[in-house]
Amino acid sequence: MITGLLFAGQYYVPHPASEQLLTSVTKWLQIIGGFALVLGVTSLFHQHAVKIRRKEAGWGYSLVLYAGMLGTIAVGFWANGKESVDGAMTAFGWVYSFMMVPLQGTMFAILAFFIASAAYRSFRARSREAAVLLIAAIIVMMGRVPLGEYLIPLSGDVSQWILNVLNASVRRAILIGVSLGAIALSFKIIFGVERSYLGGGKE
Amino acid sequence: MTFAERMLKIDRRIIFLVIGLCTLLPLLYPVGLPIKISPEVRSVYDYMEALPERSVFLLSIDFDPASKPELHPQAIALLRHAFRKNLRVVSMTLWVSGTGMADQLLTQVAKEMGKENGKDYVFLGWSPGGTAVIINMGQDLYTAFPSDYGGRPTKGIPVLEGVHSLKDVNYAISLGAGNPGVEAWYVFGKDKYRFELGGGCTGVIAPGLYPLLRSGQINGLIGGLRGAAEYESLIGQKARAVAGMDAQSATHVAIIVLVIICNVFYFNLRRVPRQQGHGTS
Amino acid sequence: MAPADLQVVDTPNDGGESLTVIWAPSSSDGPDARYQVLIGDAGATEPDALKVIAEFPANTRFVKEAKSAWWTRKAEKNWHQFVIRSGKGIELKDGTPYTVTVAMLKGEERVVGPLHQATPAPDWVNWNQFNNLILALSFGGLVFYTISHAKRNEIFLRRIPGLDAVDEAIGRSTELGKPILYLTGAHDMSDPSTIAAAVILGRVAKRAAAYETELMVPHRDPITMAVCQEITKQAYLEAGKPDLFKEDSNFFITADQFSYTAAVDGIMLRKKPAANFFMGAYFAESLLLTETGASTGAIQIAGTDSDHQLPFFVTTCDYTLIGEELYAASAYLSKEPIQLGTLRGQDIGKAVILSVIAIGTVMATIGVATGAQWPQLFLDFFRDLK
Repeated sequence: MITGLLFAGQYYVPHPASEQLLTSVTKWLQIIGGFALVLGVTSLFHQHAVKIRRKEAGWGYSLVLYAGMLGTIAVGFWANGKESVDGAMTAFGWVYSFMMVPLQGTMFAILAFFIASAAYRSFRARSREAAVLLIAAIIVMMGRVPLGEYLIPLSGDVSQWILNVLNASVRRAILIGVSLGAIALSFKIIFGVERSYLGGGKE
Repeated sequence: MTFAERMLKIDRRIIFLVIGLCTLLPLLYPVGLPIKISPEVRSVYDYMEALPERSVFLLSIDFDPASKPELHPQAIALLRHAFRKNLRVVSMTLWVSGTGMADQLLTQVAKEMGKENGKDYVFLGWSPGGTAVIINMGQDLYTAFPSDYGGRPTKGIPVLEGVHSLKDVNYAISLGAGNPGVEAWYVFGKDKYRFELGGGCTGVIAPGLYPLLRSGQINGLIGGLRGAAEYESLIGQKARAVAGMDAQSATHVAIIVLVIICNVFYFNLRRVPRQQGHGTS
Repeated sequence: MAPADLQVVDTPNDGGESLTVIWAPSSSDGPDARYQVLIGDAGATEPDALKVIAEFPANTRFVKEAKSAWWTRKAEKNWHQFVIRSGKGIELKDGTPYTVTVAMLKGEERVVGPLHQATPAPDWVNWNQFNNLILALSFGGLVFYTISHAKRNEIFLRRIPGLDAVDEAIGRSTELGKPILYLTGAHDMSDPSTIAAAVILGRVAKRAAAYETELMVPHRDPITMAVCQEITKQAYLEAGKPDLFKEDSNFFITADQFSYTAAVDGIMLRKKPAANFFMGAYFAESLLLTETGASTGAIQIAGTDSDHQLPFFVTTCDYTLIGEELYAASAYLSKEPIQLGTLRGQDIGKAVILSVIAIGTVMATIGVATGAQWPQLFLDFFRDLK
C-alpha cells in the first residue's frame, strides 16, 4: 500500500528526486520483465515435458515444440542474436524470416477470409438496428477504399464523418467507462481490497 | 431446399475463393485508382515536412510480423520521408518478436536512401519492460538503451548528439498493432515528457484512436493500409500500400456485394411464407 | 515604452532549471514592435552584460497561451509571459541566481526594462494538477464508500440478459452431449475483464457440474489457470459433484497469441463443443476463434471490454456482453460487496462525468457568447493542466 500510494503521489511531484525514484523503479521493472521471459519459457518447457513423459494425447506435438524451441535457441546463441551479419543472413535470421514471419502473417491473413464469411452469414437486416449497422458498414467499407470513393464520391466524406464524429464520441464514452474501471481497480489493489490477481480468494 | 436457402447456407470455401481471387487478381493486374488524402494522415505528413534538417525523429516500431502487411508500408513511407528530410532517425521497438523485422526494414530503407548507421540513424533494438522502457527513455535514453541493436554503446553515437531523453525528441511516431502501442506512448511518454506524438496503427484499432486524435493528444493518425497508401501518395513514392489498395478495393466491394446478395435471399425467404399464406387463403 | 511591471520568478510547479518572466501589456504592442528577453549572471548590472536568448513580435507570448489554471496563474491573461528553460543556448542551474530583463524594440528605438534577479529551483508539488488529485481522490473515496455501503446494504442490480443466454448455452451442450469450451481472454488476473471472466466461469462450472457436462478451459496465463482451477473445483463442490471434477479441465497452452489461437481452433474442430464462451480481453485472435466456433455450429456467448474486437464478436456470436455488462454480470453472479460496490461507484462516477459534460457545455457556450470569465472557474477544474 505504501509503495502504491508513493508512486501514485509521485505523479504530482515534479521535483528531480521524485523523477529519480521513478527511474529507479522502472529500471527494476525492466529487470523483472526480463526475468518474466525466462519464467515463461521455463513454464512452457515444464508443461510439455510432463506431456511427453506421460505420453498424453498429442505428445508428438510437444516433441515438435521442444525441437523448435531448442533449435531456435541454439541458432540464436550461435548467431549471437543477430539476424544478419555484414548483410548476410544468419541461421537465426533464416528461422525468423522464413518461419516466424510467414507463419504469423498467415494467421493474421486468415482474418480477411473469416471477415467475409462472417459478414455473409450475419450482416442481415433482421431488425432496424441491424439495418442501421448494415448501412453504416457499407458506407464505411466503400469510403475507405479508392474504388468505393470513385463509385460513390460522397462515401469518403460520410465515412470520415462517421469515424470522426459518431465513432470518436462513442469510443470516448467507452474509454471513460473503462478508465473509471481501471482507476477503481488500481485503488482497490493499492489498498489491498482486491486480491484475485494474486490468486487469492474471498475473505 | 429452395435456391435462396441453398445460397444462404453456401459453403464458406466459395466465399474464401471469391475473396482470394479479389485479392490476387488486382495485385497481378493493378488498376491504380486515385487515393484521396485524409486530414489525419496529412497532419503527420505536414508536421514531418515542417521539421528542420537534423531534427530528432523517433520511430517506435511496435508491431510483430503478423501486422506486417499494414504497418510495414507505413514504416517504409515514414522512413523514406524522414531520410529525405535529413532527419536524425532513432528507431526502436517495444515488441520483442518484431525486432528482427524492424532491423531489416530500417537497414533496407537506409541503404536505399544512402544513409549511414550511427551518423544518420540508429536502431536501439528492444528492451524488456514495455511501458517502463518509455518512462526510462523519458528520464535518460542511455540508461534505457546502453547499447544499440548492434552492441555499440549509445553514448557517443553521432546521431544521438544532444539527445539525452525523450524531451529532446522533436517528433515521435509509434506504429502500434496493440499494447504497448500509441496509447502507451501518449500516457507514459508525451503526457509526461512533452514531445509531439503521431500514431500509425492497423485498420482494426484505428477507430479506437480517434478520441486521442480529436483531442489533440496525437497530432495525426495513419490508419491501416489505406493510411500507408495515402502517405506513399503524399511523399510521391507509391509502393506496396498503393498496390495493395486495388486488392483492398476489390475485396471490400466483393464483401458488400456478398452482403447485399445474402440480404436479397434473406428477404426473399421471409417473403415466401407470407406469399404462400396469401395463396392458401 | 519600457516593459512595465516586469517580474522574474522561479517557474512554479516544475522540476527546476527554469525561470518565468512576466510583464504588463503595452499600448505599443503590435506586430511592428518586438520584445527581447535577456539573461546573464547574477553579478551583471548593465544590460550590455546580458545575452539575448529570445526575440518575438510584441503581440505574442501571453499568459493565456500557457497551460495554467485560475489557482496557479501569476498574472492576468492578457499579460505577457515567457518561460526560460535550460536548453539550446542557455543553461540554468538550480540554486544559481540569474539577472533577467526584457527589452522592447520599435523601429530604431530600443528600451530595456529594469534588471531583476531570480533563482531557479525545483518544486515539490505541481499545483496545476491539484484538480486531477482532487478528482482522483474523490472517485477513490466514492468507490470505497460504495463498497462499504454494499457490505452493509443490499444493492439492486438488474439481471443482465446475457446470463439467460449463458444458461441456455449450457443446457444445449448437455442435450447434445458435447463439451463446453470456456476462454478467459488474453490478459492476466490484474485485468478487470479476466477477473469478471473467472467469476462467470464459476457459474458455468457449477451448471456444468450439475448437468454432468464436460468443461474445457484452455489458458494463456499460468496464474489465471491456477485461479480458475480453484474456482472450478469450488463450483463442483458446491454443485455436490466433487468426484466429477477433473484437474486438467483447466490447462495451459501458451502465452503466444496465434499459437494459442491455433491450439484452441484445433480443439474446437476436433472436440466440437456445443457451447463456446469467450469472456475477457481479446485482440486480433477474436475473429479466428469465433468464426471457427461458428463453423462447428456451436452456440457462442462472448463478453469483453475490448471495444476494438466487439464488432467481430457481435457478428459471430449469438450473444455479446459489451464492456461493463461483463463486469455487471460477474457482480450480479458473485454478489460480492466489493464487485457490487465498485460497479455502483463507477456508475455514480459516470453520472458525474455526464453532468459535468452537460453543465460544462452550457457554461462554455455562455462564456463564449457573453465574453464572461466566470465560467472558466468551473471549466478549469476539469482541464488537464500538467
